[in-house]
Amino acid sequence: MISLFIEEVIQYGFFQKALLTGVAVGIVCGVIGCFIVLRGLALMGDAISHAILPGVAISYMLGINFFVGAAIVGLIAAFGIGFINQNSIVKNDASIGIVFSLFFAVGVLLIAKAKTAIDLTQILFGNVLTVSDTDRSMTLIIGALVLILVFVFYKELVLTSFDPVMAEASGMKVGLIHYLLMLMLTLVTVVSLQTVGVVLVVSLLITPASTAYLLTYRMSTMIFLSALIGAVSAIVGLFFSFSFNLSSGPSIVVVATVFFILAFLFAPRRGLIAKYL
Amino acid sequence: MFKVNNLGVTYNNKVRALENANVELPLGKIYGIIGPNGAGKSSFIKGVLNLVKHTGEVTVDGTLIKKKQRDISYVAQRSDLDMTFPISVLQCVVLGTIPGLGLFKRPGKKEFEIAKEALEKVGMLDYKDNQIGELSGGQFQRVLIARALAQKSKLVFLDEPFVGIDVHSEEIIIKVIRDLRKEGVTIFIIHHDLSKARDYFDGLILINKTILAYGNVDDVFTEENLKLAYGSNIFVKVGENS
Repeated sequence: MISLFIEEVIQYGFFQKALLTGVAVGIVCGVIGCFIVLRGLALMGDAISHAILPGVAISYMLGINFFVGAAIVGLIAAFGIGFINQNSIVKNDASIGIVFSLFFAVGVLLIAKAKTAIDLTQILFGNVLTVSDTDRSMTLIIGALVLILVFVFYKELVLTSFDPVMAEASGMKVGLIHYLLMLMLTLVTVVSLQTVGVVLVVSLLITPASTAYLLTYRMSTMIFLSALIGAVSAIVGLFFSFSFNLSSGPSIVVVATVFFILAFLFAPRRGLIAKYL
Repeated sequence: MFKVNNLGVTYNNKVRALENANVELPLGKIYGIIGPNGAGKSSFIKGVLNLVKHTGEVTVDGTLIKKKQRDISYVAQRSDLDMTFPISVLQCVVLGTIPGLGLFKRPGKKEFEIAKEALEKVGMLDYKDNQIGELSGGQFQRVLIARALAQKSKLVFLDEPFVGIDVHSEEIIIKVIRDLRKEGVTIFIIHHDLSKARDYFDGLILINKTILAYGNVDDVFTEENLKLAYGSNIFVKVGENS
């Protein structure tokens, strides 16, 4: 079956493109996911991914590239959550819940009213096989941009993830770094839209990162492992998706979770079995 | 001169943690910040460091402290940090050099040397490759002190550094802090153990919702002032300890 898969990959252009997109998404989500997991922002990742829905709808209505609309709306959601947090006693998870449900609801309404050609199911769950050439190029460009941003602001991201209070006391712009991460999170979500869809993006963000977290004691190794697990999950997931005619997004997510379960059980020192030995 | 002018801290839930706090103290000394639980000691530091919304202003030699933040090291209570964070002891100390680096500069050989020197001073160089979660409370506190040393700042603020740590670590930290004073660094330490106040500090800031007294230990550490801050029961405790 695997040789058939490889043969098909070589033979069919659309499948090569799907694979390339999937791997790119796996890597970028894996890298950003490390910071999301270490900062305890898993719920925020889920929220931003859902919140971009109206941005996608509005972009289609205005006939602009949906990357632009989604990125703007994602940032507005992040600011909204931050604003409620800082100006009321409402707890962080509640303000996240309030804002992202609203955005998601408005998105669903807009898509229904707009009568555009957008297929809601496709946005929600992704379909990597229908990715157009333009969108694939955008995915690769934005993915590369996000990786460059992480590289440039690496030391700021690490310090503000580990000890934001010390960083702020010493004059670093902790808030700015937070919103930079939110911008990257939004971009990554948009990039992943067609591969896994908005509902399951959070899995690609936090599952490979959490797997890597169980396997290493070094930040740089964690990022590398997380990206690797994301990429491999995409390849294996697409293989099953193709071989058994399954949806691409859910297949990738299941594979990523299998890796997590393996690490959860067998990780040296931090795994369940190591704990009881 | 370190000058706090009319500092007030009120949290979002309208709880007034601190009001009308005024302090004027010379630099280059070790100051203890003391007061009962919930008196606003941490709020005082956070207000001074602009970590929380506050009124009033703080100056160092006439310059607003906001403009000198690169010169500040702050070590919050250990419990606020994630001990499972994937970072080694050495990398943790290198983080101290980051606020002083430019935007696109990465910590290099020089920064790692600074970090190793700092670890040496607190007797933790042998642990440089350990993950921080593998350390005891006292060892980790020494690593945080090393990180503050690596920042090479002029003002150091420590929030309850001696809580829950071993005697050996406490001795090392006190020694390191005294060495810093020799270099002209000003150190502020939130501390709750009154019995050590005379031994550790050059001066005190006594807090309970506002600044009750500040200045030399002998001037502040009086029956009258402590009664003002803690109520009347305090003298039983002090008597037992000394």
